[in-house]
Amino acid sequence: MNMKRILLLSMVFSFVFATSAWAQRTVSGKVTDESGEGLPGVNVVIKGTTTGVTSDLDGNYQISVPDENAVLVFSSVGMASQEVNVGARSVIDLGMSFDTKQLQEVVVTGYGNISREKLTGSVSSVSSQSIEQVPIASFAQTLQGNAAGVYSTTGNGQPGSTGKVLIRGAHSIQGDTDPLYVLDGVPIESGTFATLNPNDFETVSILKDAASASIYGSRAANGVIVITSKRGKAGKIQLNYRYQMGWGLPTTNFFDVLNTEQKIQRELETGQGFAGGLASDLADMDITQEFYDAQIDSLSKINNNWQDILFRTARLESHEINASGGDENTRFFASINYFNQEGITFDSQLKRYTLRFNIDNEASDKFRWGMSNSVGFSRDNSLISSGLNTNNPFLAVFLLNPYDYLVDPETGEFVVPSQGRNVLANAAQSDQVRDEVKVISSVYLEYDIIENLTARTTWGIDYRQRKFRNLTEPFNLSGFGPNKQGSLNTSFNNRPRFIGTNSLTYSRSFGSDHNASVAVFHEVWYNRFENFSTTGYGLNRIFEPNGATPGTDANGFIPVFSGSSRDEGLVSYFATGNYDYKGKYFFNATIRRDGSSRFGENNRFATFWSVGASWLLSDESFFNVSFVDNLKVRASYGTTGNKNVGGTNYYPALGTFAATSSYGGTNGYSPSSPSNPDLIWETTTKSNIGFDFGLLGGKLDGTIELYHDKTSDLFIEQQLSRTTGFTSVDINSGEMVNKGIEVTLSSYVIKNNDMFVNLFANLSYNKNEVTDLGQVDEFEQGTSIIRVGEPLGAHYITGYAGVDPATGAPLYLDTLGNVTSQFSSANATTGWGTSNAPHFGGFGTKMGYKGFTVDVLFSYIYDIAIFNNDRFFFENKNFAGFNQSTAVLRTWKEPGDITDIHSIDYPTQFSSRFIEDGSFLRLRNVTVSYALPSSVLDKVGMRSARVYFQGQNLATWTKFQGFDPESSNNITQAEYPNPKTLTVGIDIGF
Amino acid sequence: MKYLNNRVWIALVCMTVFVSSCTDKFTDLGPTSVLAENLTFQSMADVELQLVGTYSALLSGSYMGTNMLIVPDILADNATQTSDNQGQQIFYHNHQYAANDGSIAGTWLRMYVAIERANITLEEALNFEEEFEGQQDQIMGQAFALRALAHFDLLRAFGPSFDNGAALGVPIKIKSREATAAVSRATVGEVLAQIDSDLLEARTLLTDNDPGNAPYRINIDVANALSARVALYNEEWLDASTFATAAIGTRSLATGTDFADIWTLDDDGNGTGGELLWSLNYTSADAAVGNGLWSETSDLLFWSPSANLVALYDDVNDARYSSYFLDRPSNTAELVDGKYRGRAPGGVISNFGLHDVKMFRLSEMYLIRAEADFELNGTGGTFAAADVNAIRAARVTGHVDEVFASSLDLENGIQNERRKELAFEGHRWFDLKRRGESLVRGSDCDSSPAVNCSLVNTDYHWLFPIPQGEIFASDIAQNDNY
Repeated sequence: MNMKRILLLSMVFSFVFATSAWAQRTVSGKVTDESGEGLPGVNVVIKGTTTGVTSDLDGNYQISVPDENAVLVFSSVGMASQEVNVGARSVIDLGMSFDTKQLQEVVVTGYGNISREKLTGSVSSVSSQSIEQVPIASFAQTLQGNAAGVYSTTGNGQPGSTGKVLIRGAHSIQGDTDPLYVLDGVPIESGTFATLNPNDFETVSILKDAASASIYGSRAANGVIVITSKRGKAGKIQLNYRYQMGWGLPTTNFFDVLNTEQKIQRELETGQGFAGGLASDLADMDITQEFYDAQIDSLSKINNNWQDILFRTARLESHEINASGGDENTRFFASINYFNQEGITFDSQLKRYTLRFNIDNEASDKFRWGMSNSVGFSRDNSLISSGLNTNNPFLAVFLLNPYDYLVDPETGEFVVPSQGRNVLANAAQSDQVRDEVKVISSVYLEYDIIENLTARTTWGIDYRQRKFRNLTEPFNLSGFGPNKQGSLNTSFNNRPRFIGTNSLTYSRSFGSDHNASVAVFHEVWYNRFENFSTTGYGLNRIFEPNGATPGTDANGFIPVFSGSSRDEGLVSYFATGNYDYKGKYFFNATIRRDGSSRFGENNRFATFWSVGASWLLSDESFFNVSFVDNLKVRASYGTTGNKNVGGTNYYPALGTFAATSSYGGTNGYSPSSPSNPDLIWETTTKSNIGFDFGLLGGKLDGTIELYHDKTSDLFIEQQLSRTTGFTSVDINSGEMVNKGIEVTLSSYVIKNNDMFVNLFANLSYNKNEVTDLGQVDEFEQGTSIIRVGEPLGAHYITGYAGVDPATGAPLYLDTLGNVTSQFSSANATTGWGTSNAPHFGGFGTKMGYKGFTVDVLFSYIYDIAIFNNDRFFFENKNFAGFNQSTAVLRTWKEPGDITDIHSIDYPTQFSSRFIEDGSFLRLRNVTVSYALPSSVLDKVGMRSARVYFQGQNLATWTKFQGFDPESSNNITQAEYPNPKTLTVGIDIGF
Repeated sequence: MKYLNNRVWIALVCMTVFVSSCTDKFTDLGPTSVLAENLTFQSMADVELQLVGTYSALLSGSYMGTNMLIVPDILADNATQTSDNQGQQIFYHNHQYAANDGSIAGTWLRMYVAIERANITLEEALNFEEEFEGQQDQIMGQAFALRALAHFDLLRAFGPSFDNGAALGVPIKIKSREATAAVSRATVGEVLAQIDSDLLEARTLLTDNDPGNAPYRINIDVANALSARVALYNEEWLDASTFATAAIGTRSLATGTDFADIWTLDDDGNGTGGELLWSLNYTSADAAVGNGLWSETSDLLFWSPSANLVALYDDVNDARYSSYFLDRPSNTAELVDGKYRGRAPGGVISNFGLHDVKMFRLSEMYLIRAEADFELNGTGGTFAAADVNAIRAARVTGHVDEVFASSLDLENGIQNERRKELAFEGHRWFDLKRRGESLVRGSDCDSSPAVNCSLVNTDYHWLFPIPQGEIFASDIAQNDNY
């Protein structure tokens, strides 16, 4: 953590005091580091209160204290905290030393804070520095490579999109696998981070085991990500301005496609496409040789590179102003941020405006309150089409023939290409816009009823509202809408969520050896979703709902409307207890009883619990290993739950009837879901053993964790006889295990006042295995399978054994592994790997010299297998009308050819040929920055100034042949690849 | 506890009151966009809505929208694959379906969905007071007929021809909301007995209880018509003739513009006294019908009418030719099916593929009676020749009654007229199957890959496979060879 201190130095925070006239007594002094230099930015707080100040640029501070019994706590990130009794002194100078014990770090666990020393559970922390100003709109994507046990893939290059985040693997098959996200005490919706400003985040803690997460009960099985936003610090108001601009480029690992000459040849070989058709017409003598030659000749003069036409250099720009300050009683933090990021293809952009205002106040020595508010608006323009659709630019770029035009070079009008649709026309003639409003607000009140007993209540809102506008203009080239008169779909949805938490905390020390605290909580949570949608037809020049033509049966423009709502609630009672003895032995226990509206009356409540203990072995007198500075052993065990069966059914236990089965304009009733009153939570039992160590005087710090998570009562769709009118019902059955090991290491190779070099790594291994599925042993899911003994995401497909050089026939494997020339989908087997990677992590370095810093982060995913569905098209002669990969040039043509692509006389089948190693190593982020020295800053009246250059996804090493190995899916579908982004930025402080 | 001061007590009391007051509000939430099962039915009006939902089950593409409307013609010899076809229904045409086929699984499921909804209607109708005299009979009569229809459709699609009474048919479902009950395939005879029993109920209840809204609802005429169709399949010739006669009643076949309007306008009010006994009422909210043959909006032609079907018509004088076929607008050299283009009030199509699917037309009753009469009386019967000629008279300008010289002429005359009259209305495959005829396609059969231009009558593909998901869940027997 020492690098943080250097970074703080480099950012050159300076503070000037505003002392309060009414203070009872003043203490001042200077805080210095090991070399005697003044240490700025040190928090000086009166113990037991939140009253405090911060040291200035030279390390000087001044604080008012109530009386001589006051104790001052000096703390600074990266430094060992110290407590000093004020006594009669009015000047207290203090020398602080680098914190060689990472155990001093305070960990935010949501319902409380705890020092890492006392922690019995498994918590990863991500520093705000890893999140701030990263040119990615969604904060969850920045977690990649930054925390052990966290698997985060972006999956989609659309600005603001959220990929998959798994903590210690997937803990459900049918149900949700998203972790629970909590911001300032408010559980926030997962996956919707586009309208949140990650620069506002101060700490991100990832709760991974039972001791840390079980207190979140029925929502904790997938782990919990606890975020706190920045709070104000007492002292003169600090004003910061931040600016960043940049450029996004396509990453380069794309397929090579055929040029016009190669493509015409391919068409003639396969008899497909424009040239194939011409050749067939010539053979049938429908056209003359002259006509044929002229046509082929005119084609061969055109050779478009679609990558140049369909992609662009994307712009990125952001501005931010933030301010913080206050006095001993009231402190605030405020920020305003504008973020604008384009995607690397047309019609893809995110614009975001966010505001934050946080305030904390001590109304009296017993009563404190505070508020956290975030309000944001974003406008997201997204691709009209994704997936396997020629209106998807990431598919069109490969499938469009090099000899085709989308815009007639003479008339300038859109034309229909020889194959597929006109992606440019579709983009120009349609709109897909999402406006999102997100408000997250919470208030807390805290009151010390008597000494040691504190009551607290917290109330919060997470509100998300979206408006979508999907427009297809009249007379569009694709002919959509009745009479091709276009359509306008406007839809609106909102999702208010409320939470209220009340608690009583009693904490007390007994003698000098025993510290104990007990807290009891009550919590209510409510979640509602509402939406409506209208579609109007027959648009004229007004592309708003009032431009739609009133519908009649005759004109066919009858508008369509729809809507729905659903809600759920949770009531919880829980308690936590902590006890430590002699500062060496730590124990904690939690119990939580959750009642959810999702389940039937008899199964509404469930109880989750955990126990944890840790032992600070290095503090024992018998422990005497010279190179070990500290060593701690932790163990925890307990249960967590998952109540989200998945999808939009909030009442999975209840049989329901829909009233939307219409006949002739009347809405009739029909059963919409079968009942299962016995449905209960999925329960994940988590065990964790951890070792924290610091070696060689801070040269090497690290954590090693071993865990075993067993999920039982898995939500499974049990097949029903179709004679019931249903295909399946949700039941609880089966078990799945995630077990693994996580290693986090950090080493200061060099560390002195001028220079530091830190190397860090976090390495995770997670083994997922389905151990029981109840009624059955397996479920096939297309090209993958869920099977007992296999991990989730196991590919399931017929093996490809190459090409018979004599005949050009494809060879396949049967279930016994014998080579056969007969393809059968019944020969599908496993053993082709899994799309849930077992190995992932990140490593890098942070280096600083005087004002310069260089941060490098690599991330990797290893041993993942992806079905490359795109290649199935690009190498398949049935699709030779479209452009194809240059791989087809390797097609078997005559006996003796040794190749991997069979003769065009045989159909291309789904086989293991398309399963690829999706492992990758990515140079995720490089930031080079320079902080101006204070001698320069003083002259221009600035507190701090920093300029930096940043590169995101600068390089990727992979064998994967698709668009982007960082895919969230088991099967590629021409996904929007992640961009490579280069930015320059400046941070200025006043 | 004396040492706890007042503030603690106040805080504890406040919290206790708060905590205990709100628990139920957060846990006793119910659905808002759908109805909880136990709250759905509160009056006979709700049961009527359940009946509406039962009709709705038929609209799906898996049932009447596509799979029982045009697929039987693609399976047989009325359709020829075109160059635009990128796989649409080809596996049906080539008889390459297996137990894991999703489309067939959809048909199976959808028919049982209809049965489940009918069963709920029948059970709930007994629980509430009538809002008017005869309401219960009216509702239950329609529900019995719908249940009979769906069992009949299951049996003819998944079972053998009906003369195999002891062979396995399909599971009979006559109770609703039974998720865990054991399921097994009843014999053909048992299923037919259930259908006959339901139809008897329907005929009894619907006599004197006309639900109105013709031709969109099942009334006594439709109950008779369905009974006639079932009897025809079951070769109960006397019943077939009797029920067909009852269904015909005083109706008369549509002619001239009335006939043309059947295919270009909605059928609202078109059923009293006319050609239409029962049409399914599609609205613009429902999926397009028939665009598995030809999607006019995307100008993709998947299936053309086969040459030997088209050749049966007199393209100048037969009104059916101009109503059933049309030159493809983008390529007039190609002929397309014109029945399902969509409603065209004033001659302009307002909604492509919006069409009221004909469940029972009067001409089918004539053809059933003709066939039954032929089977009973050969050339000597009252109806056989007369009914065929009656249809031709209604359709063909300048028609002169044909005198059928031989028994074979008459039999062919009836069957050809049936094929011509009911093309692309979901009959051809089942007619070949029930009559035990082999499928022999014409010379334009050029499916790619070119297989199955014929299918002998003993081939196992005449029975659809029982879907894999059903076998998985209930372990019922599969049809042979799948």
